[in-house]
Amino acid sequence: MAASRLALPTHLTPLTPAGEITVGEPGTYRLVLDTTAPPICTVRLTVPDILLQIISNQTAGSGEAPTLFLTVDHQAPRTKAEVLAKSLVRGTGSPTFKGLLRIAESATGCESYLRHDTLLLGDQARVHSWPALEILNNEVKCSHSATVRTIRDEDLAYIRSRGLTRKQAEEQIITSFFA
Amino acid sequence: MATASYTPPPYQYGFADPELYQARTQPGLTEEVVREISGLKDEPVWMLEQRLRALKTFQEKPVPSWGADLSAINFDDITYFLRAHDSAERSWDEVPEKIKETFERIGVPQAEREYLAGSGAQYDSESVYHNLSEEWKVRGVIFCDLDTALREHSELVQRYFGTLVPAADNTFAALNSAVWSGGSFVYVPEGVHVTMPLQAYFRINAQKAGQFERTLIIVESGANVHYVEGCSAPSYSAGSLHAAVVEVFAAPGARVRYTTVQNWSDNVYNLVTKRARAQAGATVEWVDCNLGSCVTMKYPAVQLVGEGAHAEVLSLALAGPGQHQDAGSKIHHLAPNTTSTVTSKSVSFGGGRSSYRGLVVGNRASKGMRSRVVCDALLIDGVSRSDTYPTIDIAQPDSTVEHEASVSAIAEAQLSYLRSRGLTEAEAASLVVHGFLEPVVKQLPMEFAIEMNRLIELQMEGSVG
Repeated sequence: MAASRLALPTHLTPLTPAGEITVGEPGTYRLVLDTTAPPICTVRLTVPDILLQIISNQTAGSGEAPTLFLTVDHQAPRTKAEVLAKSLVRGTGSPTFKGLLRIAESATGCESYLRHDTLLLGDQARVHSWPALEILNNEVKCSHSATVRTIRDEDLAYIRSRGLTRKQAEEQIITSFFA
Repeated sequence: MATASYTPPPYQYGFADPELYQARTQPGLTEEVVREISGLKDEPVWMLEQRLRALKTFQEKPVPSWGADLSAINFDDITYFLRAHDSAERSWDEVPEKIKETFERIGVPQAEREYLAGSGAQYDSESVYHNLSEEWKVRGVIFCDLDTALREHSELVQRYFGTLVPAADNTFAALNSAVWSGGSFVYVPEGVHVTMPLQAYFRINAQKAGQFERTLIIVESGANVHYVEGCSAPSYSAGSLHAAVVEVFAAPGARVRYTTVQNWSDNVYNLVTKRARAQAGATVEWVDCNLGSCVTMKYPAVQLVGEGAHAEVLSLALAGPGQHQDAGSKIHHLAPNTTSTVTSKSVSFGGGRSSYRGLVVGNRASKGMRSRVVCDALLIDGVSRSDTYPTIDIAQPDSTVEHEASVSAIAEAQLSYLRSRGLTEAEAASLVVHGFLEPVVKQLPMEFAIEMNRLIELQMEGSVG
């Protein structure tokens, strides 16, 4: 897993995936979104001192075009959130990931980060990525990043030199992509 | 940082000369107006036909609502054509005194005297003054206003005009195609390196005057040119509209840099379509600085259609009170091993809003493409706003695409370090802002960089510290 930018405690209260989630109690939370998650998900942080990590693992096989539109709405001061999103695309898959971090004018002292990484496998694979920010006050730390890449021969060479087949080496890299 | 009180300084270039026009159309847009514009310019029939088709397209298209708020524009209230003087002038001495005075105040004569290769100044709708040193003329370089080019090089214009930005591309491209007048035409023959920047100034002068200039730049194989455009307009109470279209064609191995310093007064809607096509091995660079206007929507685009073509976009936006700078870039990777770099820097203060809206596309042909987009935003106070809306659409597994954006306030640590060196808080904040914008500003020609630094300081006076 990509290194967390928030100082997360060991215990995080799990949140149930839903189209609208309102977090109204201070605390530390984790939301995991997988292929069964609703396509539109809005998380509202309505009271101060919330720490939230969101993990999204999207997989698109041939002919599949899953969509996720995730919004994190910081409505209260000192709320902190981190989104770690991954998309794995095989064959003719074509997923869409939209991630919006919104920080209200009154929500000072917030931190919000989003990271979206895509691994394209197969020469017909395609991805739509839209990581967006709407920041309405300046006492914040906020950033996002997105990357798109594939598995290259040089990535496989090291693992294959340890005696794994090409297929096994690829599976290793995919496993570590989601790990 | 605490919210500082802000009193906007009087707009530096906010003077207005009494209106002095020899020809102007009635406000509002009808077929008659388009025919009148075309007739006044004595244009070939194909251009009139193209204008009329574009007018129809414009009337059918809605005003876009996906970006900045454009609801306040009243298209029936705008004068679509103004002619300040009868024909394009060659020598500075022949330019009318009144117009000369306006240019004197924004510094065209100095630029001309010093080292510029040629200068076309757009006073409202048509170019009043054009000049290109003998040296370049002999080598076949053409730099004139597009109206002149339409008369003297009509074959070239017809071959390229509207092929990259067709009228149906978007509402404002259609509007421009229907009523365009003025703007520059640049042609650089194969292998010619124009070592001095070509420069043009644009201004809006009459109240409610629209300005719809059209720029066409054609750079042949292995040639090289740097085009510089600076804008400033007097301040007025009624909203003005500036809807320009720029088309840049870079043949294989060509190198084009297009620099804009935009400083419209704060009542101007600046809605511009800029697009370039880069063939194999060509490089296109947009350096885009947006300081003025009430609303700017401008996304310089590059289509990388040949192997190894490269695009570079450097964008700077300063959004003050009442301003919305919606700027960005669009890069289409349509050929193998194409590369692009986008660097965007924005500063919002005093309730201003700056947005980055970008697009990176890779298709099946763009094997080995690389793209890197970096957006940094600085929020000076608690009432301003910053947005980032990048779209990444990649259908090419053999690609490396990176996007990153960050939003921050001026760091207290940097301020206290500078203050410990004896600077006041305002000086320290100003230094941090300059340092933040430095990567873009240092790419400007020197006199623009100096002017730019002055403008930034002037606009932000009293809003930091």
